[in-house]
Amino acid sequence: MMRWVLAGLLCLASLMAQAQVYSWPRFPPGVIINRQALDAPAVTYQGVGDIVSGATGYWGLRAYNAAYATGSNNAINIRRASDNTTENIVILTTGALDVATAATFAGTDATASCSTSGSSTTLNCTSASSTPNTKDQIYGTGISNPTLITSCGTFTGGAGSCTMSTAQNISSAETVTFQVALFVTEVYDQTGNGNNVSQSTAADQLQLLFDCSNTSLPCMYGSDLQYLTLSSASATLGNGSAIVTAERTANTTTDAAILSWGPSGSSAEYISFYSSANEISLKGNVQLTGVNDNASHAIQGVQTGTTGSLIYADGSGASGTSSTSTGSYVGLGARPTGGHPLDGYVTEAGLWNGTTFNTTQIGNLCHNQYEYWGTSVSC
Amino acid sequence: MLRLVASLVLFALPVQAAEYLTYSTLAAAQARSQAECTARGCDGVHTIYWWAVVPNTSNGSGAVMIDGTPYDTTGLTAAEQAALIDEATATSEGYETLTWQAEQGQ
Repeated sequence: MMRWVLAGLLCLASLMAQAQVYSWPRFPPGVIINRQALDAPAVTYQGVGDIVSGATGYWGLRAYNAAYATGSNNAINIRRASDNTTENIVILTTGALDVATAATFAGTDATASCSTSGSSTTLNCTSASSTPNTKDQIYGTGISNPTLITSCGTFTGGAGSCTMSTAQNISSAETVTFQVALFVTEVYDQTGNGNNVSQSTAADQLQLLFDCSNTSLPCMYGSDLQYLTLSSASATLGNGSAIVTAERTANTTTDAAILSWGPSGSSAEYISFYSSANEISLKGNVQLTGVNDNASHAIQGVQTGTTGSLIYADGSGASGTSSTSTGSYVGLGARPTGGHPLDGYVTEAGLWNGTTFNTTQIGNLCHNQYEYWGTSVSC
Repeated sequence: MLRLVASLVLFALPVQAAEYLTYSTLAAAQARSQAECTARGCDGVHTIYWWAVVPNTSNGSGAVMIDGTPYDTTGLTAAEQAALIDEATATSEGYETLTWQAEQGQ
């Protein structure tokens, strides 16, 4: 009798153990139910427009918001230096600029076998397929990005030398690719308000560089009076908030506008690198020091027209008093008609006319800019 | 994930001083710039002018500014090249020379 009781208890224990291993209803081993709940959530693109909606204008080399990232919406129009033809470049579904299409459109200006004598800006080449051109962006093993050609001498029989924008050390001759230069004729406003900024003079067009921002993302570069402009915005522009992601690389003691709006003259509203090194300003009235040149920054400004105007960079800010003037102009890379141009690069700019960012929004925008562009200081 | 900290290598393209080709009117200077662009294959929609043009505040004339980088006068005739004036001369004659220090009337 006792043996039957023990057997029954053992059987029951076995059943209970099995019940603890399998949940009901039972599934064969290796089959996972509700996989989606277990998988990591899909990474969804977020632009500054997803952080704070309602921008009056957004001009950038990435998507303003997730909704714009359909794969068919235009970001910029570019001109190819070799034949001056133009092409629109879209924003991909990832939110990134379609740099592959832009690079294909640019094409190769020349290839050559090149080296340097130690660390030098002089690139000595042989077997060049053709004479390279000034402003070609170059690629090769160990060549830092972005590096441009600033001038080339005469090439004879495929041999000659060029000067590079930055010194490289290429001890053994290697294949260097010279990419045809691209220039930005128009940056489309991604908000739907139609506030596109453009530049119809070739000499004044910003250059589109690849592998620029954070060494792998594109940027718009100016070094000699380049800028884009709009004279008739969709609204009268004055008080409001703005963001830019930018870097100044030269002329660090001259006020250099990154984004400007409102009137066209000396009373334009603007965010700038100030007329002192390592400093930014809101209209020259509110200044923030410790914003290093030769480094990229996530910048936000708030123009209230009175006290409480703000300028922030990388999570640090300053407040002050700034008066406002109004108008319908926009300038990207300079003041609206080209004054005080930026010597450096810009990757995006946005203007929220009539909006006052609070500090939470400023912090969230900063983080979004930092996360995407890899700006120099985390925020 | 390793994050690359953005730090664009410092560089600035060297700027050769600009030179100017003057015309009796600003419109004439703009027309010359537009003709140059057309000759070089510009689409005439996104890119219309090849060089910047600057007004003369004293007499209403205008000048084409041959830019610094790249300094390219290949589209100019021999006579036009001989007629170029430097920035100091252009400034003294009343042309709004476009250096990055200039206010451009702003």
